[in-house]
Amino acid sequence: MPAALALSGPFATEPDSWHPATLLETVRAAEQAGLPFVILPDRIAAADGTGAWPDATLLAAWLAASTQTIGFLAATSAVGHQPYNLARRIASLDIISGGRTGWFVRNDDEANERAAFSGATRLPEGNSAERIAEFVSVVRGLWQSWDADALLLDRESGRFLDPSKMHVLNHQGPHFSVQGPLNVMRSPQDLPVLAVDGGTRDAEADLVITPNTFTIRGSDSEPHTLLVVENPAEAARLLASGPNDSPPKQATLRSRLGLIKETRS
Amino acid sequence: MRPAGAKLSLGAFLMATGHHIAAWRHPEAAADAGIRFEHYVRLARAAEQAGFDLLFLEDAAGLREANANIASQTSRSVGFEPLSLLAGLAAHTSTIGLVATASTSYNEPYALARAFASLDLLSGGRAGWNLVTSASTIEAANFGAEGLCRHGDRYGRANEFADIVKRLWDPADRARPIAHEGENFSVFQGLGLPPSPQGAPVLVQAGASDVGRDLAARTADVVFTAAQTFEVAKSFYDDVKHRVREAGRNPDHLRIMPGVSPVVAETRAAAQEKFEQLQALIPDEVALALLASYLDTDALKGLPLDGPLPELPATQGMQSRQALVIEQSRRDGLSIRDVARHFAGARGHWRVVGTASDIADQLEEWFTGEAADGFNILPAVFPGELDSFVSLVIPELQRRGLFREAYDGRTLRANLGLV
Repeated sequence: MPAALALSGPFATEPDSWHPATLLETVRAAEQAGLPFVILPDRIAAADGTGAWPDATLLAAWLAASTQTIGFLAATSAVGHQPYNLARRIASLDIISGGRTGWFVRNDDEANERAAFSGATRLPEGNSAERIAEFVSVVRGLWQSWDADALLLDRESGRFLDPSKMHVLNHQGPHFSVQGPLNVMRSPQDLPVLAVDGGTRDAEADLVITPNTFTIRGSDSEPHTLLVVENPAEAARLLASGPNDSPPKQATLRSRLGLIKETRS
Repeated sequence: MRPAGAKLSLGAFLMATGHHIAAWRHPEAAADAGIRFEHYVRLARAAEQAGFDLLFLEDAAGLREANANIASQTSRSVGFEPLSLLAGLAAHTSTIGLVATASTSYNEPYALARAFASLDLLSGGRAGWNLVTSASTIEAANFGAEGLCRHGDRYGRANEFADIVKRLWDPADRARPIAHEGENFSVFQGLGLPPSPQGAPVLVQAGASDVGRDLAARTADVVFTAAQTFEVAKSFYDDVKHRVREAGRNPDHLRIMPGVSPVVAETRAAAQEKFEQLQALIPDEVALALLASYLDTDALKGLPLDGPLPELPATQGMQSRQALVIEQSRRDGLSIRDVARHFAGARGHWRVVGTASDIADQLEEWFTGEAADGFNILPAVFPGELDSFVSLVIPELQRRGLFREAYDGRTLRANLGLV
């Protein structure tokens, strides 16, 4: 498995920091070099107004529309979101990308997120492990709202879909109550890839990510290299000297990582 | 009176296989177009090539139809989430505006402001937000427990939400924390993202109620509306422009764009035939369910579809719609099926069927009569009816000097004349 790329450093503060155009150049170079995926940070501004990146799910949609094979993980915190909205956004992004995307569940509880998201009233317990676990389980459930063959598309009979292949979630939990189903079709890779960091326990996560490695569940369990780059020049240098595999013709991120397709009843 | 040379604005309201409820069954439509990204790329490029000001997407955070039998006969249960779709389309277009709908009821103002500011940045200044509030119980059931919509009324929340978003978008406030403590939200953080070339995304609204009109007059750049006659459109237009003046703003800084669903062909007979072919594809059950929901009544159950519409008990807030439907069905001797198909087809929007010149005549009348500053076009079938509008109606509007030959600028604000 070739190394993957994690973007870091400031966005749009200096001419040589990240900008939309240099982000696109970098992911195209990473795609050419055969890298499996890029992690996009999803940071909001710090109290002093610095450090903000664009919304990673939208950045991923924009980059995916201009690439063919490389995958994208949006490192999005659950704090500013509701599970139904985030599940939709990523499911939709996954169809746009042809099954090349996933969610890296960021779990830090930063003061600037509380300051931005009505923290005092809405998140008295912060971004607790319990809230994150429930959030992730709802998102995963919503991603299974539709079977892959739910659309009949039968013009003659007038039946567009088969309601028996639609699954209502009916989740009732301490933090969320979500009926479902999701109004986005099943992912081209069955489920978008789900990644967690070393401190989050999630037995079903596809990837475990540490500051400099990623480990794929259920395969070799060997940690693979994650190249963290702070700016476009550093990325260009590493990609020029680093591993250079020829990219696959067309594959989902899940199949490319050797992740076994989820089975379901 | 319009100044000489004034141009109307056009939006391309994209929706899967088309705005007609049975569009997915049309032989020229790809039935699964609503889940194919390439389909939207094709439509976006066609609209940009033709000089449309913007692409528009509606939204619901849940199914549109709770009844599984009805839902299974329509194509609207699954689709794209609008912001991610527009971010993808931004990469395949260069000038056309990108407007997505998002509800103030089930989002956080900071996250929404940041998402649209991100789209604005990635698209080089082409983003717009269509603010809606949600009343649907289907949507509410997806946002329980922690709940976002606990305090106040929907519009109280929407007003506070819009004010926070506008402050976060303000180029002068981008780099510093705002300090907002209100009834529904507390936000003590700045966006931190650099502004796009248009400064801030365009704010669109579609609320037709009294409080909705006031909110639009105070904050919106564009208003979308549904009106079936010139008189209704004119009265809405005058009322909203009056409210804009009352709010201390220049009425030219708000563009009013009613929706219109055109069916156009080389001859009137051909246009009518195209329209009737679509109408015949609406399943009776679907038409009836939509009519019952539109009229807010259970009184149609079990009645013969070929018979006349019964007397309906008036329900709160629905009297004018009911009166309109009943009056028309009596006048034209329509059966329940006829009426149901009539309303199912265009979902309450203005529909014009005819030649390019017929359609241009009507758009020109609304524009020069100051009942509209432009139109949000709802093609009945995609891509067919968008292509027909582009190849037949747009050249006619250009010939009359009513629509641009080339884009005025690179941002949505520039093209809408809002800078």
